[in-house]
Amino acid sequence: MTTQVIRRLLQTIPTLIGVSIVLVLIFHLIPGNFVDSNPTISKERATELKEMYGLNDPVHIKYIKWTQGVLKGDLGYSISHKQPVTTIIDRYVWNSVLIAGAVMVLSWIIAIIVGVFSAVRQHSFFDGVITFLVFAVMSLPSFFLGLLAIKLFAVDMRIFPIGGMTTTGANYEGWAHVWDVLEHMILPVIVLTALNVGGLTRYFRTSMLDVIKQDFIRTARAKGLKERTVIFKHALRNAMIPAITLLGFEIPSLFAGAMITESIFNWPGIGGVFLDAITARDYFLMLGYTFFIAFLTIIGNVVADLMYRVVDPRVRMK
Amino acid sequence: MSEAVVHSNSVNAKPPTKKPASPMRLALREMRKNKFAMAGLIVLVLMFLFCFIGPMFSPYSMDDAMNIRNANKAPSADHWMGTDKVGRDVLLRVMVAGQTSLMVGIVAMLVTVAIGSTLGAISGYYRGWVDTIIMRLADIIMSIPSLPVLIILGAALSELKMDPANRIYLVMFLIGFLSWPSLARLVRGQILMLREQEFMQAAEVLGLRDRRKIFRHLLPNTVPIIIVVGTLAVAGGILMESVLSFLGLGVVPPTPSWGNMISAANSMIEFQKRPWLWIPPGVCIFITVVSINIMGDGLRDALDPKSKR
Amino acid sequence: MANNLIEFRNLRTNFYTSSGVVKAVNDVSFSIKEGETLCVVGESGCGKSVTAMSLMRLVSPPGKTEGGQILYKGQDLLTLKERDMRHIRGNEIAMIFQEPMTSLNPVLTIGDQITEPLLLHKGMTRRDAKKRAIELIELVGIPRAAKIFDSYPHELSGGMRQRIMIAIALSCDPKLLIADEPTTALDVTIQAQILDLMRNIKSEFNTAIMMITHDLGVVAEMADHVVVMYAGKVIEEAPVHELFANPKHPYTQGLMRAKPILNQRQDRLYTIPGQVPNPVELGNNCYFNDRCEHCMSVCVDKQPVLTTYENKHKAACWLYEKGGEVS
Repeated sequence: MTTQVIRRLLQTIPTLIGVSIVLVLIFHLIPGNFVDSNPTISKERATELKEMYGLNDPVHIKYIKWTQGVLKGDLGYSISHKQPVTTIIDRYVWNSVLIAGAVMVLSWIIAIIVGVFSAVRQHSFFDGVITFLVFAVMSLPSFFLGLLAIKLFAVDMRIFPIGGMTTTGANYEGWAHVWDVLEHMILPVIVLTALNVGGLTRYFRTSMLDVIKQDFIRTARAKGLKERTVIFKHALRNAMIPAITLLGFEIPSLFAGAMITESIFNWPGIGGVFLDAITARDYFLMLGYTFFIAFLTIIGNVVADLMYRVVDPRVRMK
Repeated sequence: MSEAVVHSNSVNAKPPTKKPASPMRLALREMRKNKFAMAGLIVLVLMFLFCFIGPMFSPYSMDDAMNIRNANKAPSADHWMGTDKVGRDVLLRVMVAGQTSLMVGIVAMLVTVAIGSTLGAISGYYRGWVDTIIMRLADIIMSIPSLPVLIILGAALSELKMDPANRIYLVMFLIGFLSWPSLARLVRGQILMLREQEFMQAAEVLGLRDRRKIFRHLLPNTVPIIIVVGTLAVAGGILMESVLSFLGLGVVPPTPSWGNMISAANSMIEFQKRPWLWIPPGVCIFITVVSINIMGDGLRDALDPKSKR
Repeated sequence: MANNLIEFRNLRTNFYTSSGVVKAVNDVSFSIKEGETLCVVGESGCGKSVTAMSLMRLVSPPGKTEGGQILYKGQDLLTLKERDMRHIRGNEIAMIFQEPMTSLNPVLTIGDQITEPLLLHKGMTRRDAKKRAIELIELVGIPRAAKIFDSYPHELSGGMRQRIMIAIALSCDPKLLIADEPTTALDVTIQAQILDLMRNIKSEFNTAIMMITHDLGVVAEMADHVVVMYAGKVIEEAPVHELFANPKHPYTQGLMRAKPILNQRQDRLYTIPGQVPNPVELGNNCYFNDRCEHCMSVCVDKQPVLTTYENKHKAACWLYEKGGEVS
């Protein structure tokens, strides 16, 4: 097992190097930087700053400097926040995880229940409605659904706050604070769950449909088991195995922060911070964030792969 | 038993009741049975007509002078979807914007299909180091989060002050370019399987050139999978364009697109008081994408019954 | 003579497919006696498996059992509540299938799968169930039972898996064991072992067996009584010796000739000409008429009924009816 893990991790190195080269190249080619786009900086100061941040270096020097930093756990220095990029990520990423975690739990629960019932009653009216709804939510642009939710529930009906993470100037303590944050979370979580749950439901439905057709389900029924046991013990367990690997693939989205939704709801997450960094031409923050997500994606693939080997007895490692 | 008729053995197998149909025709028949998918197709055709033919019936024209006095009017008999802040007819703009959005989706799909199927086929056919390089490249591109990169590139395009008319082509290309790896992987898998089959050995014996073998014999067999992925890629492209344009980083005014129309209404007052500015384009994106997705799913069931995922 | 354990009376099971209604089981009647081995023979698609699935009430859509009765100990299974039927499945009537490789759940251990019916039907504690499961594994002839208990199906060979399927089926001491082509997917040597095992079980537990097969070799070895099916109908029924000595229906005769006989050189193996008729387009005639070498005009016009002749021999064929000459 350990050697497998190590081998799998070593395989990611070329991909990581490739990703870093592509990203540094993109950032090298982008015109403009925070110095030139800020008219208040004097000429001498500008040259000084460019020298300091290595903005005039040729691309390979930039790459080497940046990689050296990354290996030491330093993703660079955010100009707009005047703090190291890692500090910024650490400060905002947890707000994103809070939302993304809630979304993940919620959408998995809904998707499993709905997907299973939809599969068991394939071609029923319920299945038809669910199938349509699934496609509907999969097809909504995130910003449109977000705006619509704000308009309906926050502006028109005033059920939920319009945005932010806490009520401005309220300074709640303890449970009141927790409650306040929860209230601000509800709308973005609903929007993101809606966007997320469609694909997952579809996945569980097809997966269950595949399993239900198998011979061992017939065996289970022939044993005289209750239909509930047949579906939830015999069928769902088999359908869950490929699904477990999805958990690995969801790691990056857990930390990436939903850029558009966060910015629409003014949630102080890492995705929104990234969008702001673009206007400020905060080179290192953008690069650091993008690399961070790419890194998580690669790790997520490895985790998915390894998890599959752990949960499936057929390929389980001895 | 005197009447016993000795039945001659010549009455062998009855002819099959249905004529053997090509897989493509079978798929179409299957598809026609799928009411959902057919409904999706019909809605999609209507949407195309709405966007491309619709403007001809509009009393207004995109070249009409701005008319501030007529600005921000709610929907009425003259302007079914109201007017925007410079007095332009929203209905007409939604139709014209639709042309842009649909085109972005289609061209992005073509880019994806062109790169993805070619590289996938080459990778699967030659294997060895060619395969390793292409698949590594695919891994790298798949690992890079596409939305952040598109946003960064969009910002760079804005920085370059690129002409909006040309910019749209770059946007199409970029969207298409970032989504080829998954198609390439699928095509590669199919080709790897196909090249071991007998008809390819026949092609080998005939001494056909590689290019002919790949493009005339192998790739046509992967068409079903390409059609399915391609259909869904159009939906993906439209969604991606709308997000980018909403952020002001995709298609930029004066070229209208559904995404940038919603973006134009993104101030608190417009948003709250004038929903006719942003709801119609949003609904259009939704209708288009939902019908493409449903149709794509029907196609997948019809063309590729094995891989339902 | 022993009592009837199962009695099929005019059973009808139809499948509603896109190309029409398929009468998979079309007015089938026969019975299985206590402790008897009854073989149902026929080509694939003749309705023999569907008959068994109808008995278990596990015919899945688009199939539907729509007529007749299946009497088990005098009560009609088809009118039983689903709850009561569940109590019969796996407990009083158990079933094993053709594909041992896929009939076991790949993610549950063998132990889990054997103890399941014990916990469910016999209300055993986990410990007792485990003890019994290990006994059962030994009973079906697998050594190191305790180790097997914790294995997963993929770790066992096809023959071992079929033994496990038999162990599961036997776990609750069923009155009837349905075996749907239990040896078809196995190697020849393993086939013989599995058949031996089933014979031992029958003599040891006095379990009735309903064996579905297309292999007359299996029939000769196992059966007490044989039912021959063709296109959803029973066309011949007889005790095994009578059937082999004196096959009546031309289809049965064809089956016997199609079977290679050892030590006897044949230039060409006999095959029954033609194909099974399209199940959607059946008319009111003998379904075998276009393949039959004795086909008469009546065979094309009228359907023969299953008639009892000497030695408990039943057949549905105009050759043995006076009606054949009348029309």
